Amino acid sequence: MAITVANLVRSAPDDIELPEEALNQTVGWLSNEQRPVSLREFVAAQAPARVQASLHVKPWEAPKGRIKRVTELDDDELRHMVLSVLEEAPPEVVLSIVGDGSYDAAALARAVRRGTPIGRQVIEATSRHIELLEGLVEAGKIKGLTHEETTRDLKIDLDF
Amino acid sequence: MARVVGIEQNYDIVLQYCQEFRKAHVYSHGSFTGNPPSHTLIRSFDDDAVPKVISRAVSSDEGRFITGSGHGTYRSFTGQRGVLIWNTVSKPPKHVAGTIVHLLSCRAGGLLGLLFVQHGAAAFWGYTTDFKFFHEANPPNPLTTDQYAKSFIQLDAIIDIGILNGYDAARIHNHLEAEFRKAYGSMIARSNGAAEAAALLDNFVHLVSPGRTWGDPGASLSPT
Repeated sequence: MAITVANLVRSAPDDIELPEEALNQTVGWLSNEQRPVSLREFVAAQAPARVQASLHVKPWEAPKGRIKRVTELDDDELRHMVLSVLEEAPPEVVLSIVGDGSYDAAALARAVRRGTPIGRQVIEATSRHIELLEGLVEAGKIKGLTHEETTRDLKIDLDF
Repeated sequence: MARVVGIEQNYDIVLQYCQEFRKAHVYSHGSFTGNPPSHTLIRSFDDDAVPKVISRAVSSDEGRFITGSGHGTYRSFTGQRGVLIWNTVSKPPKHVAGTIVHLLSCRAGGLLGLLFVQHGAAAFWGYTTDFKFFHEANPPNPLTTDQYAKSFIQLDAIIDIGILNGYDAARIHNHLEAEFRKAYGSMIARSNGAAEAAALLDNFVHLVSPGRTWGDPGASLSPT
């Protein structure tokens, strides 16, 4: 089966847990205010009621005006949304591309503004991620955290 | 006993990260260290990651798995200090026939991987985009303690570990997808994890694996 956003949404388990802090991250775009939308606002506007309840988000928290999904954004809106995501990146990290060097968030932002090949890659990758996240929310695959706080110390299972 | 050719380089920080994680998880695999070992590892590392040495390493009928990290393009894979190892202009070595190939590199899945399969490679794993990963701006010592790089490179190592375990493509891919979901879920659970999640997803959707185009999904590495 091809690895596509649609397939990843369809085959996702419906118990992806998010803590409250995750709701601050950027997803789509609010046309009438020309600003990025937080995941909290997106959940308030677009998620099934049980997802909203699980995340303690109220429908009235949805912004006035239509939220554009990432797939509906024009180039300028997409660029601004990606810049907003990059502003949220941890300051202590860089993105390395095998064969093409390392970039901190400020360098990635410059590449996005200038439309360089790296910048275009970042836009494409970020928009695909937002499309997946929006899809997971709308399909009801997300819920509030029910146990221990998520930590950075993720363990990939290499023993299979 | 299967012969495994490993290609690693160390001339920039990105390749050092790849090599260190792969030493920890791939080249220390039990199939090499068991008594008796079920696979023989031929190391083409660092200054040995050059055409002459690699050609010698793969020019055996026993060669059944080639795994390497290095810089790549759609049409090429390079060795130490950028020396060309394989490209689509030249035919791949004849002993690639029947071999499983995995390249942790940018883009080589695109055309080079197809050429390998057209010339008889049993299976090819790689990427059709730039393989990318986040890591600490001040890399820790050892590099394998970098909590940001870990998810990215360990996910790729699942391919090697699965092949060395003798699994077919479907079993490896299923586990890879499950672990990708776990890592992606962990990234989106943080308010500042979106850029990482985007990079991880970009690698994953550009992964090429044995199937209709990149070889036989049933190909597996036999220990004998």
